[in-house]
This record gives sequence, structure tokens and C-alpha cells, in this order.
Amino acid sequence: MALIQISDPDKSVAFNKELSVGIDLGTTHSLIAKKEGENLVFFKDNNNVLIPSIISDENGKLTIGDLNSKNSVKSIKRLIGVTSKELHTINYEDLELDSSEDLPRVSLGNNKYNAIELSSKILSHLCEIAQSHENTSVNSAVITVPAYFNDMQRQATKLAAEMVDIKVLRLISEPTAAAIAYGIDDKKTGNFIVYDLGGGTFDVSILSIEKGIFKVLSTKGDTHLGGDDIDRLLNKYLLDNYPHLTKLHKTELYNLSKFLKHGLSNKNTITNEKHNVSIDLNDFNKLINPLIEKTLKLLNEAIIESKVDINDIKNIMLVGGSSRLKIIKSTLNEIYKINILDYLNPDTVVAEGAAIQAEVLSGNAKDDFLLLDVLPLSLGIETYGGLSEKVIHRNTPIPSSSEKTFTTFKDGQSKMMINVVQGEREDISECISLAQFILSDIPPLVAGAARIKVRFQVDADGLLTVSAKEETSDKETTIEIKPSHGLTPELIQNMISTSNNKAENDKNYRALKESIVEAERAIYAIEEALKVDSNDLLNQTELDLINQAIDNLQDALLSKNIDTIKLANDNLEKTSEFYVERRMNNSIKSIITGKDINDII
Amino acid sequence: MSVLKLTYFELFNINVSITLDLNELNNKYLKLQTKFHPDKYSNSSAVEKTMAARISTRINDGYKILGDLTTRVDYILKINNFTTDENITFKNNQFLIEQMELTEMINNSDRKQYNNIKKEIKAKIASLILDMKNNLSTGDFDILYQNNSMIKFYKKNINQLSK
Repeated sequence: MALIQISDPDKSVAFNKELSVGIDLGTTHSLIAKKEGENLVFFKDNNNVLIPSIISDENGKLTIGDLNSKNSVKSIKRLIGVTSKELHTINYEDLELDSSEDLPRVSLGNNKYNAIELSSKILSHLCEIAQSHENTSVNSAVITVPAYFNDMQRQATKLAAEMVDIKVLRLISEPTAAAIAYGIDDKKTGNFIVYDLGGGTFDVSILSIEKGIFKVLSTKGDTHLGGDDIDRLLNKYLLDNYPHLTKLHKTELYNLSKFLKHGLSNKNTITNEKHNVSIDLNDFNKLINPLIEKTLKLLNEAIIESKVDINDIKNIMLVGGSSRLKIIKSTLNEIYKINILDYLNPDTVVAEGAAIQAEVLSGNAKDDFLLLDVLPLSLGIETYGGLSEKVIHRNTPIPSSSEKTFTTFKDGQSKMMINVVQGEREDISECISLAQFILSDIPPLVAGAARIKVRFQVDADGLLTVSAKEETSDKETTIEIKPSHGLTPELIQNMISTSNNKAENDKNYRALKESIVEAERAIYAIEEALKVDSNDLLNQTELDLINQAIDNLQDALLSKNIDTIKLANDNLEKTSEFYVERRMNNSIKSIITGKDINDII
Repeated sequence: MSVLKLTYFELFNINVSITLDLNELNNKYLKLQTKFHPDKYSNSSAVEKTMAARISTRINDGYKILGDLTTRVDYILKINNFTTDENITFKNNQFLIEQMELTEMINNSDRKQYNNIKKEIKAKIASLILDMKNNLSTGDFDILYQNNSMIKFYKKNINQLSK
């Protein structure tokens, strides 16, 4: 399709007739939505748009969303992408965890599950809801993640989706998704702050929006700061002040805290008659003030890093259920004196943005826009002495790549351990280790003579690939790795086979169908492109070659054999690679010569 | 011509120069990304996806490097095949003494004086920029390198004063 876009972006054709959705996989609740032209649909479960991210065990069967079950786990998002070694960094006292393996497992019923498995259950449930409303299965999704999620947390989220056969169109940051929903709303332009205080995470992003381009300038956050922490403080406050509450089951105490917190978003004092407790707004604000201070500190850092003058910021967009707290609005108003936007529902605005982006990425949208996001946390390599040498700095626009050259520190050193880390601190013990690998076969040289080039590539989802190359010898050793975070291929395979309850036949049929769609898309794209510029860019021999490859693929399609189709499709792609490259070069030339500056922007 | 082999200046169609118009750079950046960002290729064939991702990465990398004075000058040195051993630290005794004095001055002054010191340093940077423009036109890359190194020190001083 992009072949067509190069010549005329308006004439793109949607191949994707299947359902593409936006999913907000939240700490306390999750949403699934679809945008189709003017229509935005939130799929409801038991008449609720907000589907509690609670997983319960009912006689060995897992169900999602039952708020009253006493055999359940909640807020599983805080565990995703966290290894057993890092458990001390999060709050999990309400969960029964087994940390004997790389990934911690939660006890639920008679079984133990890791966070990826549990998240995939939620995702699967969301898709079933959409499916039951639409009578067609969810094919692909844009899934939102906290802006401050690190590589491990992003990889884990993507894997959870893939385990239940959801093709991830893109992972986008929650504040960015919210900005899309607000920005598309009335074609806003300017610089904006998104303040996103959710159930378990806090993010703040500074964006510029102009001419349909959403550009993230900086982002800051805390993946373990949110409404859950407020509830915990409130639980403690209640137990300290009302000793009779110690008898309550934790679910009841939790529900009581929620009731009081929600009541204080529009009242100055709130009482619960049944349990005979009350709290007024002043006490509550004092209680949560340290959390608010934390968010303000991060907000200030984000503003400084964005290099935008505070006077040039138009609005603060409020996102996340916890942003309803009165104290947040009044404090932001008082300090920054910037107009607050909160007319979109803070609980649903992220899912709305995700649904809008899903429509664009599936090629079905009329209104097109572009999202330019950044890497939230710096990526680096451990160097001698336990220090992190940054290779890609935070707030770099993605996709991005960078190289650094390292050397040996001992004479004749033949191996080098490469430890890839993420985080801002110099001291690597304060960073998260994403992957470790050993580069061997370094030629024996004096210390400092070997040159090992390490290349980092971050894709548009914010996911990292690392490759290393030894350059001094003629022989180049290249290793390419993707961080795996304790997810061995066996474990992944195991999780996929146990989670997948689809019949084998079903999967095969789906795979065949996908390969046919893929092939038809390739043929269509090439044929449309040929109509436009084959005369200018190809000679007769080259044209014949490409046409031959198209014919072969068309024959292969008749076979209905997946392997044959894939082979012929690969062949077409390889045969036409030079042509695609010529077209891209051509298109860049026309941009460079500047004749269409005003047409495009 | 292959897109991936263009220098960043060529990619953005900007003349090789020490200073540049950041607004123009930004406009061209947005224009290029509008065409090549991976999101514009989500329904494309694998070949196009890979190629677009590579081009988009290069546009981002170029934007980052050209967007900052010292990385831009380093890049100008690189495309002029000027190399210097990174391990040999920049040597200029007179400058080192000046830096030590400057650091001492910063440590001994109170916040009120920070803005004045910043102004002084910025004036020095401005004069070095003029020098660098000459260095580039006469092809004195060695001096260009040294001047750029001095600016890096001055920028650190300014960062220190901005904390």
C-alpha cells in the first residue's frame, strides 16, 4: 500500500477488512474500542465500558472482571516485565508470589501464573467481548503502555498479545494516545502537557501538535505510582484510625477505600454509614500530598527536558481516573496557570486514542496523522567499573539507532561480556539489565587495540535490538540479540501452547488466510506502482522479471498451499526490492528538491 | 543514489554550515517523516517496511545530530574525513587554565551572579562560532576540531550554571 502512498497518499486502499481495535490494558481496568469513520465504539462487558483488570479463579477456570470474587488477583500490570530479582522495586504485598523462577508467578486457585500469562487472559477476554458484538474476530490492535515502561515491560506486553493471536499494530504510550484523542477532536495546534495519573502508573509527556503531526518532546514518569498507592495510604489510614476495620476482608477494605476516595472528588467530607467511618478532604489531601509532590517533580523535569518555555504551553490534558482528584486540578492551576483540559472522560480517553491510531494503521482512516514518539529511558552498556555508557539517550525520537566503539582492557583478551542496560543512572546497579551476551573470538591483541562496534536499534514500538561487531580482524563477528528478560524460547513456546485453546485446524486456516491477504496486498501494491512509474524507473527486462514474479505468485495463490504462497511472495519481494528502493530514492529526491514543501506540510 | 548513503545535510537538503536555521530543519524533518515513518507503511510489503524503517531511523538520527551545534560540527569533521584519536584528550594549556579559573569562579559565586557568568560564556561561544565558520571555509579542520572541543567545555559550564 505504501507504494501507492508514495505517489498519492490519499488513494490508499484498505485491505484490512478484519477488526482492528484500540486496547487500553490498564492496572485497575481495561478497555477495548473501535473507531470507524465518525463512530467510536467502546465494547461493553456486562454493560460496563471499564472492565476491571481482575482475574479470578472459579473452580480452576479463570474469569475476568469479577469485582466481588475473593479468590482473585488485581493490578497485575505492576508485575509485567519485572523479573524475580527486581521484585523489591515494586509493591506486591497483596499477592502470593513464587519467585523461584526468572519470572515471578502469582498463585491463583491451584495454579501459578506469570504476569504475561495473566495479561494475555485479560487481552483474550477483551477480544472476546469485541468479537461477540461485531461477529468477527479481532485481527489486530494498538495497545497502550505507560510512556515510562522500559523495554522489558514493552516486550512482555507485546508477547502477551501475540500469545493470544493478536497482531500488534503498534504499542503507543498512554499519554500520547490521550493527546491524539484530544488533538484530533478539534484540530488543536501548539504545545501541550499530558498529566496521566492512572491506577498504577504515572506519566507526563510534553507534546507539540501541528499540521496533523503529534511530536513527543519529552516524557517522564513512574511505573509504580498511581491510584493503587492512594488506596494503600487510605487503607492504612483507615486501619490506624478505625481499629474495628481490621476484621474486614482485604477486598472489602479495598472497596471501602475506593468508595471514600471517589466520594471526595466532588464532596468535602464523606461518610460510610455501614462501617461507620468518615474522612474529610483536608485530611485526605494531607495524606496523599507526598504522592502529588512526586508527580509535580516529574512534571517539572519533563518541562525542562522538552526545552519548551512554560509560557508557550497551551493546555494541560488530564488523563487517568486518579486525575479526578480535586487537589490535582487546584495544584496544577495554582502553580502553572495553564488552562486545564478535562472534557474527555479521563478513564476512556486513552482507549479512544488507541482506537483512532488503530484505524489509521489499519489503513481505514480518512483523517491521517502522524505520531512521532520518543525513547523514554536511556539505553547503554556496562563498562569497566560498573558504569553505564549511554548509547541512546532518553527522549530521542524513535525509530533510532546509534553506535559506540568499545575495546578490551586486558592484553590478549578474547571474549567480552556485553551487558545492555536501561536507565538514567551512571551506576549500573541502578539500571535494569535488559540482556547479557558474550562476544567471543576477539583476536588476541594488546589491551585497548581491539575495536568492538556495538549498534543499538530501537524500532517505532520502542523495542531494542543490539548487534556487535569486532572490526580489527578481517573476520567480522556479528551477533544480533533481542533482549529476552528471562523469557527463554522454550518458556514462550510453552506459554503459547498452553494458553491457546484454539483448535490446530483453526490456526492453520487463519495462517493460510493471512498469507493470502499478504500476497494479494503485495500484488496490488506492485501493480499500482507499476502503473505510475514503470516507464520511468524500469527497463523492459526488469519489468518482465517483476511481471513474471507476479504471475508466479498468482499461480501460487490458486494452490491454496501456505508454503507455496509464502515462497512465491518472498520471491516477488526479493525480485522487486530494487524497484522499491528506486521508488523511495525517487520520492526522497522530490522532497529534497523541495518542489512539494507546501503540498505535504 | 541510495537514500541511505546520503549525508545528513544532503538528506535534509541543507548546506553544510556551522550554524543553521532550526525551524527550517524541523520543517524538513517533519516533511521527511511524514513520508517515511513506519506508521505510513503498516500495510506494506516486508521489503517496504524494512526500507522505510531504515530511512526513518536515518532521518531521526540526522535530525538529532544536525539539531545540536557540537554534534553538527563533529559530523562536518566526519564527512570531511577528519579523524582524531578519541583517546588523546584535547590539549590546550591556556584553555585548561581558563577552565580551572572558570570552575573556581562558578564555585565561589552565588546564584545572583550566575546569569552574568552565563552571558560571558555565551559571548565566548559566539566568538568561537565565528572562528569555526572561517575554519570551515579555509578547511582548517584541526582548528575547527579544537574550537568545537572548547565549546563542549563551555556548554558543560552553562549546564552547571543552569542547575
